[in-house]
Amino acid sequence: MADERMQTGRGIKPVVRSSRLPRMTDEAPPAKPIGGRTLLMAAEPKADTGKTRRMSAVSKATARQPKEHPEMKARATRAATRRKDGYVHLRVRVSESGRLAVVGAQAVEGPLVSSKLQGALAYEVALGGTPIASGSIPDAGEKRSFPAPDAEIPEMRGHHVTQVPTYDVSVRVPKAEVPVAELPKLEIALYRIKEELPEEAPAMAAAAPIGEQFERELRPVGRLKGIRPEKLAKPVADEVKKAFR
Amino acid sequence: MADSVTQILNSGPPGAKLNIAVLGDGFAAADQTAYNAKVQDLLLDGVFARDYFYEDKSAYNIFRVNLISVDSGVSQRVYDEKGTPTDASDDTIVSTTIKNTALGYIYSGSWAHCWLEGGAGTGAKVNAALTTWVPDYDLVVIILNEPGFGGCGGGGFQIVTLGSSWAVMAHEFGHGTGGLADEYCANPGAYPGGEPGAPNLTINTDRATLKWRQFVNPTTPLPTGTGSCADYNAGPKPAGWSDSDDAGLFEGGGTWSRGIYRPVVNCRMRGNSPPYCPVCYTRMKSNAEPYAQHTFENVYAGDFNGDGKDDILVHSGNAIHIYRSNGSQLDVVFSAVERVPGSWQFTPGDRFFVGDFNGDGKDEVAVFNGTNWVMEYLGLLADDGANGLRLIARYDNSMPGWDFTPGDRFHVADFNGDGNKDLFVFNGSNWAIPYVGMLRSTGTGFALANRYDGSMPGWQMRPGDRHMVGDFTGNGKEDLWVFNGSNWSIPYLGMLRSTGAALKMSKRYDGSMPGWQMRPNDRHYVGDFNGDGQADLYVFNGTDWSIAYLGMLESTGRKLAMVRRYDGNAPGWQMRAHDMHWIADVNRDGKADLFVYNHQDWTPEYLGTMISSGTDLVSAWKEDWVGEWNLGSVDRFEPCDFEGVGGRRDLIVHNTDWLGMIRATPTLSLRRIYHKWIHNYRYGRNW
Repeated sequence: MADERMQTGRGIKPVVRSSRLPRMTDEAPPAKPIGGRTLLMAAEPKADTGKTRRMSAVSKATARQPKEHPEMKARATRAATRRKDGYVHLRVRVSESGRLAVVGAQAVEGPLVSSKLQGALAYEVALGGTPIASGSIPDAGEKRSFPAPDAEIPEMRGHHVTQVPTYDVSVRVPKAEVPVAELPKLEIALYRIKEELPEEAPAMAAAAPIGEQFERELRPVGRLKGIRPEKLAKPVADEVKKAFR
Repeated sequence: MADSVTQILNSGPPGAKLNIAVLGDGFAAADQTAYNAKVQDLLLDGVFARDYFYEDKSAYNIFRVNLISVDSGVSQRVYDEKGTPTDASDDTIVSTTIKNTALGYIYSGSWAHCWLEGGAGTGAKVNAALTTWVPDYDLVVIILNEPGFGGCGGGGFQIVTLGSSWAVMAHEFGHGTGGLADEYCANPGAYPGGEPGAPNLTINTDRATLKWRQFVNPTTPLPTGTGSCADYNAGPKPAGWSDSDDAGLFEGGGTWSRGIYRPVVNCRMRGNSPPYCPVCYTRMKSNAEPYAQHTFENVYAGDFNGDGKDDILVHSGNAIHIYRSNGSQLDVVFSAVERVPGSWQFTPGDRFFVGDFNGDGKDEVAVFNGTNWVMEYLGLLADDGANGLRLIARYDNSMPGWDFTPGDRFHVADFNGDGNKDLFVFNGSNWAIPYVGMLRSTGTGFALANRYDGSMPGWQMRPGDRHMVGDFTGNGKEDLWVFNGSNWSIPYLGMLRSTGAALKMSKRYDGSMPGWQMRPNDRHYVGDFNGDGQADLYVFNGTDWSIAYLGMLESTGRKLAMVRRYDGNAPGWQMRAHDMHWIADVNRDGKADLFVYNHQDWTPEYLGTMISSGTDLVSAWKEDWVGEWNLGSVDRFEPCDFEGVGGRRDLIVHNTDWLGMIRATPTLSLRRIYHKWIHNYRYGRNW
């Protein structure tokens, strides 16, 4: 396309959109048939006398505003639609050695938004090697007592921080992506965020696992290879099967 | 009384938001009112009523879980701290008094023991409560019915006593949602580690690579404060310096006093009460961005506080924000998610109409939703006395004389000249015949002044009718203009004079106006371009002729007279098919001018002004960029007066992620540009 720029000043000719189109004249416009007929507005249109699909007649009633308005009435949503975009909130226990274990699972209805990979930890969920979800855990693995503002000992005016050997994190898995039968192929990788990831880094890696994409910024903490309900404690196994059903 | 859950902040589905579960322990049935009040005090009236959290309310859901304990108050434990209150390792338990509470927490009041601890089965009880009541949580707040001071955070949890304040809680949320580090320095020693991962601490003193360098003014010395937990000591503190908003490099942070640096003298991550510093604020905003789901797509200008400067209302999904203009920048003054008191529940299909409907000198907002609910709703939102809005009238499905339907189109106009803006409403698509309604504002609501069924005097209504408003008689009552270029064999334009309660045909043009042959794609802009008090008409057609035309037709009070017609070019502007226009008053002379924009017909985009002398136009424009604003096809414009100088010489330009403040005098120039969110950093910006 040619570089077309506006020109202004004396003698600049108008841009002709199409030479096949006419120029404006002082003549009355030709009447264009509509549906084969010439339709012209009457000088004084007749009043409407129809009865169907009309607003009800104007009454002299006035609207009184109630003291409290009721909830605005929502449209009914179809359960089938809601089920389709649900996800599972997995509670995963991280031990000191980096071992990951599922200790709880709950199905949640509705859409799932991926968080940015910022904070203390990041996780990625993959199925058969293909990443399907990722997220971050801003705060994990420590316990902080609130500062004592009036303490005589300066140290007590800050947190007392205790590293927790075992802690739980939340991992969210799109339900539709993981049939129960595929759970043994599900992998959860947990990383410590050592350095800030680039701001534009997608939370959900498009192609490669985040551990490969951000090798410099992420450090592995642990990896759970497959969820086998039969190897879980019964209450947890029941929760997992119910959640992914 | 049974356990229960109440969602006290409802921003959206849990998977799309950050979810805060609030649990109580040691609150017996009789204590539940006090518990509810504490939750309200700490969260809704505390954390979420202030600065960052107020702005980003729509990123969060809050679920209040009422757990009924058998006993009132929590279990108590007394430690013998052996005179070393900072060292828990040598402590012994003196006594433990167990109470029967929902979660079994034990309060000790010992700092080294995190002030409190769980009892046997506390972890399981907490998990059970969460599983039952808030299965998808991101943050958990547990409030103990214990008057002593203390709290224990970590892992997304904060367990607090009744003695805790919202400010400490907000600090803890900085850890829990932003992954922010502490910026205070309780430990007198030097930091022994490498570069911290947290965004708000560093050991790097190199300006060129400092991780928050974007927020540091080049004139600010680095380091800015050296020494144990330093304040500003690299010379005299500059006049106007803000200890929480001006960034530099201050020694001490992450609990250490030396060898590590924080961005400001005192941020919320140090002192709890100050707002987040630019570094922490930006992290919190960035982290919450996918959940807040704010965009700048739907922006409405209006003077909501009556100071003469136009502010903006931004609508994103189920949230609205009002940003106040001080003449050159915008600051958030109101944030509402899901509903405002009254109540109006915001949804994506809401359409807003701004005008002073009660004549108080401040703009109100009429809001219509014809798509998101079982029925249509029309609401009127007015000043709540605290910079915000509340609903003062709502009409569900209908109001006397008018049944709302999805295709209703509204136009704001004071048709009875009483100083209150009213509404014209047209529906040409949902009934067998078109309707026009005149909804008179009473100041506290609307009442039907008149309704036209199928026809108005001298005008047969058709679905393709397009309406404009403007007082062509100059009698203070805004009139109705109507054009139809598609439903008849020739185009028509009608000028219907308002009597205050009815419309009378003043003049109808059939096929042509003086000096102007009408065509289906004529576009009309009503404004008093000669400043005589009577609204005139600009008419543009860029598609139906071989060249583009722009006409200036003045109102004589009853009809129109051609003043000037531009064929192809206007002085200083080459007209093209896709020119878009907005009424303005660029030079504040009381004569309506035009803003003009074209992003389709030229290689670069053009934004221009066409200033009316009353009989002529003079144009000026900017090509491709206005300052730092890169003009694009997605840009939308809202003419306004954010400077408060009178006239209408300013533009809010916006698209999904960007919002700019452009003024047109002396030439088009950008005053401010905002990306993703509106925040006025003291120095630097968030991109």
